[in-house]
Amino acid sequence: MTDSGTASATPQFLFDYSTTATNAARLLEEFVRGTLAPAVAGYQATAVDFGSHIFRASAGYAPGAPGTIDGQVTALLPRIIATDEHVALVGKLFQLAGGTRETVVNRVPFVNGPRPVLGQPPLAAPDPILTVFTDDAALAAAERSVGHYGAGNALALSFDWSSTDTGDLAPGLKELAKHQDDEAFCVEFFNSLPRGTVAELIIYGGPTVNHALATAYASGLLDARVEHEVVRSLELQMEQPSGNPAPAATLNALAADPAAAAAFARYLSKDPKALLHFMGGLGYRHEADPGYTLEAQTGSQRAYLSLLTSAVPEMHPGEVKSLIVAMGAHFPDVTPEDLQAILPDMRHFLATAAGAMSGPLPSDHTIAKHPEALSKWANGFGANMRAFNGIYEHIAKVFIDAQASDDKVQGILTDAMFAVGFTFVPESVMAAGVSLPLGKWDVGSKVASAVNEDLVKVISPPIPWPKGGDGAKISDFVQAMNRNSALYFMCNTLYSHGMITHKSGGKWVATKWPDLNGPDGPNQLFASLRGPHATMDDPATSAWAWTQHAKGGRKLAELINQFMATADSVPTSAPSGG
Amino acid sequence: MPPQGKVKYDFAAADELSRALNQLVDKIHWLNWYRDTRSSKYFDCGQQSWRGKNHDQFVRDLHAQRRALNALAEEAASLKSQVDDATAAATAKLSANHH
Repeated sequence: MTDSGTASATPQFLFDYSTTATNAARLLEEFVRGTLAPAVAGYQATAVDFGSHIFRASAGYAPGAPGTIDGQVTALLPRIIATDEHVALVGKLFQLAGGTRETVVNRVPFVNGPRPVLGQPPLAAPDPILTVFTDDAALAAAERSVGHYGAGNALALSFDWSSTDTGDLAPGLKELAKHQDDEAFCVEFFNSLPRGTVAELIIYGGPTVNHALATAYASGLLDARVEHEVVRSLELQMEQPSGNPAPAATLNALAADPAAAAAFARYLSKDPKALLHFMGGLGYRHEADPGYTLEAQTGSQRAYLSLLTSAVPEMHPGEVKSLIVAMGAHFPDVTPEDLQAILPDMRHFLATAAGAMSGPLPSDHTIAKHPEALSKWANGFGANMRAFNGIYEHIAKVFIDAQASDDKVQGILTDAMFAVGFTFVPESVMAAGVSLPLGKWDVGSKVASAVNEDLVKVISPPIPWPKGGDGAKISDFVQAMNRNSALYFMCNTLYSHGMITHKSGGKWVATKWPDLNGPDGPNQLFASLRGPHATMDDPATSAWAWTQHAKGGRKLAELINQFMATADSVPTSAPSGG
Repeated sequence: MPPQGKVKYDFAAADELSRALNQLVDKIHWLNWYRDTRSSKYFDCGQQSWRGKNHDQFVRDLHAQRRALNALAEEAASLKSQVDDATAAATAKLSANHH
């Protein structure tokens, strides 16, 4: 028996068993029909003087009749075959449930190595080594969905696709509206649409189709073929020269349902071309075509980023990381102006993704029982931050290639890199639903905001700005930026634990630390963070550490020490001491 | 009682049935063995094992069906024995008639 409704299986093994066991039972069935039953019948017909009682006693005589041995075996075998055939259905249900929301929410990865769920869309070809972890409820939901064919299929086939009058869609859309929240109906409807018709329906279907599409996506049971058509349809619409609000409406409908958004994002992350197009949106430079309107394209881009922001908390951390890396690898060639137009949305998405990738901080209870949990988490966070480097580098390159003046570039960068990298903490914490032992750190409060602003000032200025299109310099810069954002996070954490304090008026007060606003303040702060073992011998510093002990401060200091020690090369603002 | 001097009994059909029943017993036992070993191979394999409510139900069905199949195998063996007895009796009768 299993615990609390959890379920797991390797679908391919279920298929293998089902095939081989069913074949075995059919061999017996064939033997009964072809050999045993005729033998019984032959004997019954001729055994007059002797043996006539053998079968008649049980059932009277009729070949294969109930009660005769051949009849009994014949009656039992279909039940056995049904049992073994059902095993294959269960395997299919595991495939359907695997990679859906239920699996992701459980945060249980597939066991066969660090395989991203990305590679396993619903209804995909079976992977011989894939073991799916889910629960009985998800399997039951999948079974209900696949067992519900009928009305949705009929409606999909009722549309007259030869008609050029979009008004002819109205009766069908009216019927679809009645079922737009019914997952099984909607999945069946979209999966049953004739090939090539999905695009047309999305373009002309309006809110009803968008709503039903989100419902179908949320089930995780849409055919890959339909997902492909949806993505291509949206791409085509976004390439229309005059701003078309339709794709944004579809994307926003999907964004409104996180499970639907996650399913859509999973598909996109496997389709680099689509990823590129969606990121580019109307921000693409089509200078030969002045018909492009930035506003409308930005609408699609913003809806797309909104969708991704909605999706990532629903996705497995490994999926999110893959998505971020894929976005970095397929970043479009956009102008600084276009990029600036979507920076707030981009920042929100990246911050949410950072939170989703690293997951919540371990609880105090967990840390008390497993002291290594916090350092593991922090190291994971540091590693995850590096996944953003591809995106950072592209953003930096956009501005460098534009040959903007240094002043302007610096200004843009403040908006782009600093904003993206340095606001991870509050948003990511909120996005991940983390309940930090905040103490005096009230996220979103004026104080927290002041803390963040001052930390940016403390950390950011000394990083040298790379000039020209030197990729290596950009990479160094990004690495330094990224690293500082990690440090920034740690400082926020310190603050949340009451290990450093902030007074109104922009003054930092860290117990026994120098004035952080002084010229050497940042270095000394980091020096203290890097060398707690050395400074612990200093009575003043150890006093500081021990006063924070009850809040886990010492653990945190050790954690930061570990984090710093394992990091890559340090930026130029790095501590001089240690 | 059969009429004296004649035995209405098809010995070839009896042999065929006896052989078929014997095969049935073997084939039933083989099917049980096959399902047991294959389900063990595919479903009881460490982390890749099949677990959950569906598996629990499958195991219950498998066991119930194994019992039902075994009962049929016993019945088949019993029938074979009866057929063989009838054949022996018919043979004896025929032999007695000839003498």
